[in-house]
Amino acid sequence: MSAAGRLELGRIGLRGDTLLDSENSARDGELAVRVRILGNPATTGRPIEDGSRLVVRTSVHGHRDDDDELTLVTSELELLGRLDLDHVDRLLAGTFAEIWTGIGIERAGYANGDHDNSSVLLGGFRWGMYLGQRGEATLFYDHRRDSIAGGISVFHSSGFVGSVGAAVDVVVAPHWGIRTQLEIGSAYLTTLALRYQGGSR
Amino acid sequence: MTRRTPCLALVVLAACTRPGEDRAVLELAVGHASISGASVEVAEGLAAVRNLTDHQLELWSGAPILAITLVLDDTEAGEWTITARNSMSDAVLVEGDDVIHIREPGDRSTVATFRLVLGAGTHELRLAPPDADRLEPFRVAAMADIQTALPVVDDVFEAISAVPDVRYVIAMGDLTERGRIDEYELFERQLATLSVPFYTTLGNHELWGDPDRFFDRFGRASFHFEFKGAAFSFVDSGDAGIDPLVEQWLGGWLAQAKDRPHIFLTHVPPIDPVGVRYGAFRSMRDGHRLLAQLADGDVDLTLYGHIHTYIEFENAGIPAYISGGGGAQPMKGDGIDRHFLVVDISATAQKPIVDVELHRIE
Repeated sequence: MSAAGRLELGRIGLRGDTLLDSENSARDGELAVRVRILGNPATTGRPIEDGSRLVVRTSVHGHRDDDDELTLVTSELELLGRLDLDHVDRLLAGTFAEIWTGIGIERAGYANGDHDNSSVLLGGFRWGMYLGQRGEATLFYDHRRDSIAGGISVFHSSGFVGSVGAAVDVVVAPHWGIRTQLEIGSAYLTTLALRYQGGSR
Repeated sequence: MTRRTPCLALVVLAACTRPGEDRAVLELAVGHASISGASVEVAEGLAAVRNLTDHQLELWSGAPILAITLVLDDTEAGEWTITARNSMSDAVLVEGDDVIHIREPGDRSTVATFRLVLGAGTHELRLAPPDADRLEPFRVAAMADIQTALPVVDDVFEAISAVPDVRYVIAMGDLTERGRIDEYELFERQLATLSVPFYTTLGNHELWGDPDRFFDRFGRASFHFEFKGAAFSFVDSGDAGIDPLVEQWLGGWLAQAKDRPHIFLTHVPPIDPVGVRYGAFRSMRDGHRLLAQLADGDVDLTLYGHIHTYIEFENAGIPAYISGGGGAQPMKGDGIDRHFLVVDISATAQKPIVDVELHRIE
């Protein structure tokens, strides 16, 4: 079970996520700050004609596994860009591409008091299409291996590739939206989310 | 103008993929064979049964000590020839509690042949060197990642054979480049230059071919044995993860060896010490979980391959070595090239892993 909240303040977005497993033996939490360097802010209350943007994101992610007495804390810095593809060719209007890259520093703490520090290469790309003004559908590749999904098992290349997935975000009623996502890595991760969108318009 | 967007995810469901499940199940068949009138079982699947025919048994040893149960009916009673390949040069075959059979002369050091008369019934045989249970210091060599260097790996084997007192080689996989039968045959021919046995798990390159080729020749890829008071656990991580069934076996081995020196070997490092390179488990969380289990099991040494270099580091407080120096395309610029490790172990010492020494092939 997961819960998340996001607050958009002009070009700055704050986000918090929590995730609990059904047996309450593992927990995840994340706090993230996003700064939109280029592109239209999403807080004008008016539909955005061009979704292209460049965003810097920094976050702290924590994971605790009680069974293995394992604690992971990851600090990340990431640069994300989205380009509406009608800038490339008008025939591609209504579609967009995203790419992101960054680095994370991970600290793993074990029951014996020892800890390991490691680095995480962040990166990926996403192709998507706008569903009118109601949402978007995307296909993506995420290179990171430290998430719940982990990396996909690919013939002869396991350990070198991340996860792939598809997601649909759609508004179903004023203020309400639904997100569905399938991510395939070392694990299959399916998400069904109900979103409430409040605030001033 | 601000907009707040609370978001509630109602359901997140995760299910693990198990690419190694079929292999783990296949391993359970290793060490058993039967024909009309005779059956053989090697405890813990620690040897591949290469041949069981009329009064003949041929094994490939996966450990220094084998416990063999041979059941014969009247039709199969008589003189048997038991050949144990990849065995220790001083291994003897003990029948029951006290009948000792000495190997036939003439074979090379790692091929032990015994001729013995067996009546109908159940025979408990133990193949081991006489000092196998004595808590004395001993020495093994460790290596991984031969792959395209198979035609010249005899250089490495000769260098290992020249190191005094090495009892056997422990290996972390990637013996072949493509897991082809001709590669396995070449590997076995090259082993003729090695004077001690070679116990190994598999690597991702063995999975280019049918994994049965490995199991049929060399036995299990995930196995555990003890020698002179020290424990060795080999685990199949050929697809950059460990199957839950193997994890369950490992849990038992960790509990069994908690009070003695324990060396853990697998092909892919759970966590790459150079994290952004991702030469590690496909799930970092699974990698960390494994390390947590190894630390909890008081493992004394972890040995990995996969990355074609030499790195000495620590994971979860356990000394760790990546030694991918069997000859596969070396990592550029590290200046390491072909190498192996020599590990000195003493079950009675305060620090049971007495020394780990890098030996380069010039």
